[in-house]
Amino acid sequence: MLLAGLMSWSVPFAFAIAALITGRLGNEWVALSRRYAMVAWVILGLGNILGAWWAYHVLGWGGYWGWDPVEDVALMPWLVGTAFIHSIQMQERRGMLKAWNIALIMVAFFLSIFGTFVVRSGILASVHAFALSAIGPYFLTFLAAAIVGSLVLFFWRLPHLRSENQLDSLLSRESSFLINNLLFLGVVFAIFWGTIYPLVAEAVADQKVSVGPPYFKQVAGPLLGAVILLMGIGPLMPWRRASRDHLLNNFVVPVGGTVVGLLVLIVLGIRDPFAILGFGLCLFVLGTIVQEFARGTRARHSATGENYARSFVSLIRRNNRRYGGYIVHLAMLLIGAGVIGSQVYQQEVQATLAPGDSVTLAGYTVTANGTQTIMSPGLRSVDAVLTVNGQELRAEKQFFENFPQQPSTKVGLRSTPFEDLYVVLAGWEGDGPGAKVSLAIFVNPLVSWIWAGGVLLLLGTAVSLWSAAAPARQRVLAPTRGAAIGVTA
Amino acid sequence: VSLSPARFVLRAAVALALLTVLAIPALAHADALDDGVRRVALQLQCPVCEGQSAADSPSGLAADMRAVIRAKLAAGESDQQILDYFVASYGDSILSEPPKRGISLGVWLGPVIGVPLGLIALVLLLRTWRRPAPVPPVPADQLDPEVAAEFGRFRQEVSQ
Repeated sequence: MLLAGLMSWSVPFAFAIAALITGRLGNEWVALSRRYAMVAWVILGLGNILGAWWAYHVLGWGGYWGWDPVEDVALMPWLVGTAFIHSIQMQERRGMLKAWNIALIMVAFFLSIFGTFVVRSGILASVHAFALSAIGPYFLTFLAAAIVGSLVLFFWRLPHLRSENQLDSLLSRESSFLINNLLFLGVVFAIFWGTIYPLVAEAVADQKVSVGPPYFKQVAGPLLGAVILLMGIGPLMPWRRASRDHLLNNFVVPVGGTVVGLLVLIVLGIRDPFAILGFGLCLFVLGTIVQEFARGTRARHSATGENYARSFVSLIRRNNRRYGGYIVHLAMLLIGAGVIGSQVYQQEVQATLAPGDSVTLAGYTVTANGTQTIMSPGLRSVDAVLTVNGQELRAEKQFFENFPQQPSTKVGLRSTPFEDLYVVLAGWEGDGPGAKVSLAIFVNPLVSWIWAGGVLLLLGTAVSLWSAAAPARQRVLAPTRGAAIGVTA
Repeated sequence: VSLSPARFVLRAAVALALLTVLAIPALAHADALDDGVRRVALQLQCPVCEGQSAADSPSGLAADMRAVIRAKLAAGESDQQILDYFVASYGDSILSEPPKRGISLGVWLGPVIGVPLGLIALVLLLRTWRRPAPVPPVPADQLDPEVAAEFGRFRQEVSQ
């Protein structure tokens, strides 16, 4: 999935290069590559979420994202891609940022190659590493050739990539997109720097440096927070120029809703300043999106006389790009809230329990009942048999015959929409009903929101690419089909 | 890896302390010490495994590190003292958060310099892109006579 996502960037990249080579730098490659870029973007996004899902269920350390090099290199092209699918709209609507968009596609592609290189070469130590091979030098050569070739083409055609329009106002959709791009590239730069810095330090100063999660959290956290804020502001900004009345008209309700929502959360016991800030940002964006859907539905209702449910559906169908985009934003809010909740409010306890002993965490009472060993062909599993609030739960270690030194973990998980009870079997003494088990028990709030966000992400992207597809594709594809096939074949 | 005598004694003492602790059946209940061990261990990398903290790694060395932390916390040392102890043994790279000194400073400087530079570049770009305020039309009687004559001819041509 991940590698598929990384490689799908080669299609928009091929379009961009084709446009540069043929000199057909009009808007045709933009329309084409926007669709492919969105497909690549969603595949890579789902790849990242699946990677997190795997880490959460199999690695058994209670978390889902560790700022591991492999996670970093998969996240970076996705972030650049996110910048691209926003800034490409500047070119579609206003004929601006042509050179910049081509540069973004190139960067996303290079980072994808770099990512594949890192994943497969094992040059950076990672928990996700698999199947190391000696293809590193080939990748590096390929990457260097791609960069040099693209840069030559890029500067050769640069004079043809001038902007058709200028910026009218700092308070406009255009400048929101520019700030969006700045923030995303800032995050990418910070992650890139943190990921390669151990190599740089070793090469330059021959010193071992490790850059752990605190660096990434401290650097990327505030920038991603700003991205969320912008996600609320940007879509409500009109193209060209925003007036004061427009701003008041659009932001009073979401801001008011945020204040009320935060008061409710504070009454419910949310006190951590990071959580208040983060949830506040999410609420604000949620308010703007709900307002957009409500206004659109009401407008259709009064214009067409359809009932509200029908107006809502036809609103999305007729403006699928825009409302698909809002659905994707909603997905990001779900993921954001899940990350904030699980980062700030994770609880953890470790305990060694004899049969009959129990430990209590956040309202869950976990009682041990020894272990059970299950033999199946090629695999031996040891289950800790537990009772949680009266129901059975098993946490398992699996030993594959061929890799007896690398047991894999099967987490004992009990999910509700608001929190996961997550039990890892860390060790045991003895065997059978009399065995003592050592457990790491976590309560992770809101983690299932992240997976739900992944599903919504796919849905939103599908909506965004959907109905206009049939007529628009023929209109756009027909004149360029030959050129496109010529390059991708 | 050869151990200095001092460290060997320390490890032996830690192992002994650990065995004593394990022998107490009351361990079944989580205590403040557990939280402390996790809090400190999360700030340390496991040196032999790949990108995992000493709190999360299943390796033996990480378990040893947690045992050392537990013993030191029980002996009343502060978090910082324990971190300093590990830095003295393994160097700065044992810390999960790169310290803001020496070679590790560079990793912090990247975004701290890079992102503001990007912002400055964006602001400069926006300035050059901003459309100048529209020039107010010049009244017909204040036009340059040559321009006015040319304009008159143009009008005649258009109207024909």
